Amino acid sequence: MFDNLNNPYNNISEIKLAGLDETCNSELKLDLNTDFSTKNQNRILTDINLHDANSLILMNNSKLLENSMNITSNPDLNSLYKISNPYLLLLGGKPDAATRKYDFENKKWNENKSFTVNKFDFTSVMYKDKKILILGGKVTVIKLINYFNLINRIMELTLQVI
Amino acid sequence: MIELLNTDENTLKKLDFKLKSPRCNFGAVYINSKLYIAGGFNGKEVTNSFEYFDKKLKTWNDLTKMPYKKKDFCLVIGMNKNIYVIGGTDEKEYNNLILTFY
Repeated sequence: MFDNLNNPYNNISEIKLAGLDETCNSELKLDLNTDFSTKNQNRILTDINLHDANSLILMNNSKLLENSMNITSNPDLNSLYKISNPYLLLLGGKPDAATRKYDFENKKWNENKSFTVNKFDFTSVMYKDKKILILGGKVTVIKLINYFNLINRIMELTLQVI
Repeated sequence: MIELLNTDENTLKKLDFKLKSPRCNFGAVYINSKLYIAGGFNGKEVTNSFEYFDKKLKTWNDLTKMPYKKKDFCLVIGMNKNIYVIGGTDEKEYNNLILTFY
């Protein structure tokens, strides 16, 4: 079905987005300019092409919707979903583990305060409609807080983990 | 650890089943009530494992291992319901292979 990729690790992130769609009704093609049909609302490949590691170009049937939308953080693009409302959902990842939504009307990224996916290098899978399984991954210590316990006169160490 | 994010309710909850072993940078797809997991890094080494979780039976089952150890690859389902492993690395070099599982 596929030939090998032209370049090692070429456009892997956009291909990964294709994996979100179980009911894909066209051949997966490893080409930024491919025009995919949009029957499945959860399907993200049609609408989004990765421009570089830190920005997106939104496309809809090859029509440009947004030009190079910048993602100020969380460049961990394996956790990017289009939800059918519609909005984009960016989960966890480096560096701050925040969950962010991109509102198409206001054209803004907003941080979601309801929950945080406290890890990175995890894998996520769309499970049924609007449900996402978040699997495995790593947590990391980002801040060490030293403070002196005046009562016990010992140095204590508190870890804040994200 | 496995968590379920419900985007309708805006909730994140921990599920009562776990991955067969801890790992990161692996591939996963869900199809026909089965969650397929491949490769990844287990904290010590890159693996070539390939297994699935049967939602109905609530059991993990091993499949034939991938011919290469891989992490940071893409696992996708084609319209023919085959599972494709695309790209990735064994920590020494990135490769341009596309593997197919039927």
